[in-house]
Amino acid sequence: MSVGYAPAANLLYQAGTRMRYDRNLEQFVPDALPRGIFAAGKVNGFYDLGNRLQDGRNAGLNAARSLGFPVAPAAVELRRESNSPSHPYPIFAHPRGKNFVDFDEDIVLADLHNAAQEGFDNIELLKRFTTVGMGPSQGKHSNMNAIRVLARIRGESIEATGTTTARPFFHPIPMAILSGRAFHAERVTPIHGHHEALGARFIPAGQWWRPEYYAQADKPREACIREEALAVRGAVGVIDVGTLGKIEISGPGAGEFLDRVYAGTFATLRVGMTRYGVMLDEAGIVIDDGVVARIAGDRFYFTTTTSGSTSVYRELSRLNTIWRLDCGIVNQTGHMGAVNLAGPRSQRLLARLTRSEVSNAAFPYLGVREIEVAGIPVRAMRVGFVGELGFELHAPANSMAALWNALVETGRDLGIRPFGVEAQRLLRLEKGHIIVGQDTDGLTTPFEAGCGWAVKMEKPFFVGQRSLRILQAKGLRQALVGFELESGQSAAKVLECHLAIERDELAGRVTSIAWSPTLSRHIGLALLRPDVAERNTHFNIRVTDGTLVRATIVPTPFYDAEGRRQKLAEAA
Amino acid sequence: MTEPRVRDLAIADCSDSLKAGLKGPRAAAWLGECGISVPAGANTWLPLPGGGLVARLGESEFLLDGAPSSDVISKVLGLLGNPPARVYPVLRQDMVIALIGPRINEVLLQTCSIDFTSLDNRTQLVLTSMVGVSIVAIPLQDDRTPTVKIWADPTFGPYLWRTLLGIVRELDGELAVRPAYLTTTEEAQWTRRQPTNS
Repeated sequence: MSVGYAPAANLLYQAGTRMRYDRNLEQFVPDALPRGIFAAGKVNGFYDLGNRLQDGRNAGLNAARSLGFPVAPAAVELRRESNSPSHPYPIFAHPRGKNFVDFDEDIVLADLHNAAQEGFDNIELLKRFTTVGMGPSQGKHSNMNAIRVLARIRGESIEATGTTTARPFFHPIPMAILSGRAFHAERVTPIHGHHEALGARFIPAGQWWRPEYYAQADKPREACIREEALAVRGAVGVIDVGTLGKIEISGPGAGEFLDRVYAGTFATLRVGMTRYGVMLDEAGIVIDDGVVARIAGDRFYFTTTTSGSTSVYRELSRLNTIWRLDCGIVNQTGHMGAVNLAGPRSQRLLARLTRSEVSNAAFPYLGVREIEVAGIPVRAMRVGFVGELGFELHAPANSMAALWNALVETGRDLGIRPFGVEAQRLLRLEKGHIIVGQDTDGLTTPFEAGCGWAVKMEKPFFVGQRSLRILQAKGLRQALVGFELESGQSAAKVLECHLAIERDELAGRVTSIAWSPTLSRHIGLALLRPDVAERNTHFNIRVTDGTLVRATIVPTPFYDAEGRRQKLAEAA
Repeated sequence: MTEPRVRDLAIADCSDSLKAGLKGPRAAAWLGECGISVPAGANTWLPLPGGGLVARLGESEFLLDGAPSSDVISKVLGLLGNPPARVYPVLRQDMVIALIGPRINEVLLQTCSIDFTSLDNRTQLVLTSMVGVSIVAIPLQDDRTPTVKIWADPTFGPYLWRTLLGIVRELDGELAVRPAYLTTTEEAQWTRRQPTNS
């Protein structure tokens, strides 16, 4: 193998320099430099030492002039060197051994031929398929080899073959840095120790550790999760939702601010009430959702998804730096805790712990109240993510342990049971509630995710509105549907992300799937092509072993379609 | 409580301090109206009368931290229950950790990319990242006991404490039980260090 010279052009590429291939030099040289960028030396094709020194002086003078220093322009114009120090093709076949192209990744010529034969015959695809140039030297010796080899395979010029994109870092990270400590920051809620004491099995959720379920002796994981879910449906459950983003916004401009950042309307929300909000990016894509509560005329409190709390707060702060509305945004995520008390007996339990009235009349569905629970100041929101009568209780982090203990102790005779993330995912699926990031992807609009009802297109402005109008005119790209599976062995094989197949073509993917102990069947959500979602009554799901499982499209919610359970008080 | 001797490196949990937070365009003026000297610029701090400190975390955001008995902070917390326009209370339940002793830089070098030795330890604070966690840090160098106090989101607290304590112990440091508030004594020392206009 003869690599030849590969001058360090990476920083020039990263700066936006247009490069051209010089056939005399057999290398890329700058064709057009961005303003304020100057190159010198071998990258310009100068290999003679005297030429390199003069080229450096010229570049320095030009750089000084561009910065406004009173220096004369470079006077010495250098003539291009005409002899190439590099061979036009790097491989000289070895009679017995391997023809290496990339020593970092042990890639040989045959690997590149095979990749091209498989259809990866574009330089970017070839790189990713073979990993050429992705080793420790970051392609310093192998990138030009691959370009030259691919050009010959395709019978094209080097220019037509092109180069890969140069990205930072240009140099590998020194071992001295890598040898330092490796830190992986973790977050836990204020009642993490209580979960541990109850036998919780934890799962990571971003940086957080959350109880997946609470293990019980001699019971498998699935049985524990189902029992937790049934406790919520039949009695009362409590889940730690302290990982949710918790943001307060106050001031005369708070309502208008929320109207701009959410797709729904909040300036007209009544004090003491909450409303679901969906947040979009500029492209009209769903990026977050949560509940917005109006605490006072100029004061709102809202939740974000667990994963979205930091990015949402940062984005809202950025937006108000631009808009300069008269309001202040305070991120309380880590300093407030929260639990969700859910189930038909939740109201009775809450009533035992507060002097405030929590009846349907005094504290209606979707209401928010600032009350004392077990002597602790609590912001209570009557919401129903899991589809039951329920209250989300938010309190300062240092009082969460006392609140949790009070709920668990006082609710013991009511059958209270802590439930984890898995039971919550199942319960919300039965209710047809989406999880942003699971039932949506990086291209899902609210109309596709079934939450178009939360979008008020008639508002003067909200982030993503303009894009949504354009996307609406184009029609849906996908649609979220509910589905059921016929019982049997094959139903259990269906997993999230399995593909939906229609007439041998890709028709979408499963986003959520679970066995519902309440409904006694497998239920799920899938993002499907709109033609399949609208016209079909069934679709097929290809499972891991390649077989097809038939799914029936059904309306959501799967459970309590009229939404009575979260609105009505417990039957006397 | 008897103050234990800190040989050369120690760590203390000071999270039981009394804290108040506020932000907003009128926050600085309002603090002044409450009789509190307001740090002149972002990323600076001043001692509070009677102990504790007021830290200016940005142009319009403040953190007050002191002993649980601090009258000044109690008064501010009370007033923030009904804040004036354009002053927004910020709930602060931070994990607060103090690194104490002449060898604290050995811990800081391994955990944070800020060079604390270059900071003005009479007025400066830094908002930075330590072991992957966003923190507020204030160096409180005095003639006797160099100290860096660290405030962090409490949900990172157990991780931050566990990590720093592990490093301190690796370096043969010790666990200090003295809550390292900026005490009246320290405030007096701070005052003595202030440049005079003479």
